[in-house]
Amino acid sequence: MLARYIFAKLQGLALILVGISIFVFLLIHLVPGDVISIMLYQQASAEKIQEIRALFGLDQPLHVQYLQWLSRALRGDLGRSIVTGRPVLTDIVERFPVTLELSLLAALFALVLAIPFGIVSAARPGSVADAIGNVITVIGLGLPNFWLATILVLVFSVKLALVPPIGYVSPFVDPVQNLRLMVLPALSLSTYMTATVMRMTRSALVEILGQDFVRTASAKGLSEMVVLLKHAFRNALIAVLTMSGIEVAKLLGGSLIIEQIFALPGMGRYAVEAIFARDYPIVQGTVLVVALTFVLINLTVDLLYAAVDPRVRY
Amino acid sequence: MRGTKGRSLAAAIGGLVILAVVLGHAGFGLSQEPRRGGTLKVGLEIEVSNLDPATSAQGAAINMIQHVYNSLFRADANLNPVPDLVERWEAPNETTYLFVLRRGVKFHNGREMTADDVKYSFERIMDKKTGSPYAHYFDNVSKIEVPDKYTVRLSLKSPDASLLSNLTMPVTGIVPKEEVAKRGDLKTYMVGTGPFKFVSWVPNKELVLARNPEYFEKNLPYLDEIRFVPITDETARTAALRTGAVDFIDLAPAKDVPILKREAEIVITDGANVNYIAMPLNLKRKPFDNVKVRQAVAYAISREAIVAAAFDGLARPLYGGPLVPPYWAGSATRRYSYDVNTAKKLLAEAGYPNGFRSTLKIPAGYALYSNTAQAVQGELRRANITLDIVAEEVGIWIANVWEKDLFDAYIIRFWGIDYIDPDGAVHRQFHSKGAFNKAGYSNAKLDELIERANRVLNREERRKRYDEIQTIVSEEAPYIFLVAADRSEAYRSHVKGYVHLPNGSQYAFRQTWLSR
Repeated sequence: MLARYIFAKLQGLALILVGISIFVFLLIHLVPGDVISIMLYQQASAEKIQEIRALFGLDQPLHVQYLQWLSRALRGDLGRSIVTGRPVLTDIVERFPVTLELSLLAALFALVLAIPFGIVSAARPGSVADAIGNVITVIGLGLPNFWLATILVLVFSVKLALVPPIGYVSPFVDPVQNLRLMVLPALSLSTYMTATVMRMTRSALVEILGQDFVRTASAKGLSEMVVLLKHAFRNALIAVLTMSGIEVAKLLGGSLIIEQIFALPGMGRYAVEAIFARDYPIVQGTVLVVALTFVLINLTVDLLYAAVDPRVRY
Repeated sequence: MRGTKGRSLAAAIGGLVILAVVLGHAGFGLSQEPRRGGTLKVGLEIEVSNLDPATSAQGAAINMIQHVYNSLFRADANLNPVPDLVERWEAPNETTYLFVLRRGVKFHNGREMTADDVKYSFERIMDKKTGSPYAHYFDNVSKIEVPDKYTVRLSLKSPDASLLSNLTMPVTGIVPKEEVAKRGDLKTYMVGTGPFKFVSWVPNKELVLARNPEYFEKNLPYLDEIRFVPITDETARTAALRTGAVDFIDLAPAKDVPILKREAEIVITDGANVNYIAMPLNLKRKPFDNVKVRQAVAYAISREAIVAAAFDGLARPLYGGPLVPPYWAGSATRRYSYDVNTAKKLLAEAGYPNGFRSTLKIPAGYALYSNTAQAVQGELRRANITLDIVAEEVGIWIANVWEKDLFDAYIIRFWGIDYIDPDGAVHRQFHSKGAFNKAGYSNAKLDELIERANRVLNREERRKRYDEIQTIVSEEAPYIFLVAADRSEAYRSHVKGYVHLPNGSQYAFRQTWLSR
């Protein structure tokens, strides 16, 4: 039963999250370097740094620190950044939607380009469209997206002055400006996913097109379009869906470099900067949220399987 | 005759009028009055992290603090302390200071600032529970008294020549006790006496300051509002200035300075900046335990080559000590020159006729350090010195180099946020008990000189002491001094009244205005 399936998955989620949070906590604390000395090594003496560590409770045994964090997290309090003093949950709530929008837009660009080209490449191997598709794939896999981002900024923002080079505006405040500001970063981010989804679409479809039932459908007199889209592609959809789910989940982890280049207040920079700073509460909080997102995406993809493939039943 | 004279006079007057109009339009400032109003959009090199004066250690945040808070003194264009919140002061003897405060200065919450606030702010820094890295500024202070509402008396244990300079630092800014009590700390909210009031802060997005209409300096500031946006990527920051997305960037990336110079609408400031970039050596390890080896390294590096390779030409060579003119305690004396032959000779005398191999550790991900390290590595090869560059992640680098002394050599930069007084440039670095003396240098005579130089209140006398200090430090070479890097700001030409300061601060925003 669907409800029981979902419930079981969510139970597993709680265990996964606790396990991940312990693992990350150990990692970030056992790595050399600590938040206070990184902040103050050029301002304060070693003794002063030690005093300040004690003020933040960082001299306590690790398991005590973890349990303090866990008990607060269970009550919805993710603590405060040691570096800035801001509540972690507030920061995440502000940043995650930015990364969410950026990832979904990037995924949209990727799918809009990848699926049609993937289908055409599979149906018309060796054609001009197939060749274009190949080029796009190679570029998407090989081109560093930060390089593309810089070029896009130089061309479209500086030379042509079509879009502002940096910044972010909430879509609830000004949807048009929001989209203008998100176009270049989303495009830059979409390249890899475009390539992988296009390749997956083509290879899955090629395999399916070689199968008997496709020949049968053609023989029945169905038009090529119907065979391709209604029958063949629908079967390829499982593979495409899996690939897309993985790529979107990766995007949702946040892209540090793109966020940096376009000055976007997203989760990527937030999390990575916190890791370099060893800002423990932020690291714990962001990993929790990202892990949660991953599991929820997996669940969504699983459920979509059921929608796409009538053979899948939960 | 009468008619000709009249015609000449008319022509002369007419010519002068035309000249005045032309010059005025050409912007010669004949008719440029500061215009009140407008919003200045600033692109920051890095997001500010902690806005509390007592605990912030980040340069960008400290620059932000000085727009919202005042200290007792401020640093003028030559980095000399001049009164800010203090109206006048006197030192009845070498260990007593009487500071008389301005009256009628209001905090942004409406309350008048008094001597009690000064005592509170200083004691807050000295309090261990605050965790302030600036407590050592007050190490010499034995007592802070408030004889009357506007007077503060500081009693010192011994004369302290760096005290007034330390009291110019924004981190000694005066804060209101009730705001600290209300919020626990001032990390995310700012309430001071300064020309600008804190409005809002969305980290990684925008920090907004607005004019303080009750600021104590008459008519200042001119701007209505300043909006700060962090743009860490250098190309993006330059692009934002070029497109007008921002009006001002607080650090013009050296590689983009030529591009920006070509644009008529953009002004680049002078780059003079009080700082030094050096390579500390570990004197507890071979071969750097031998002074001749250290001197050989100092001879083997062409500072000009470093300036060209790692700083795009925008730095000044350091062939002597760390402090150079026009800084008042600077010395133009050069102990070394670029001389590979002498370097090889010294190495042979030290027992390394075929050179040696060692490592140079840098924190990964910083162009400044990796460019400098590579340039130094390239230079030393010519003297048969091989330095393997080891780039470690920042936190790991700090733990290894700073906490465990696990290094042979590394690269460091000390700059105006760290010191504007010469004591700050040498004391913690070269005194045997200095907190930053990772090199392990120990010289009792130098220790005494450093301590004495900080007790001499006469500036000329003091400068001579620092000349001696620099002579010893460059002779013994625990650090190989490399360059003093330039640091320029850049802004669009409608931004007026801005003045570049050699401590990297944008203090001049309070007198900045927009011509459109």
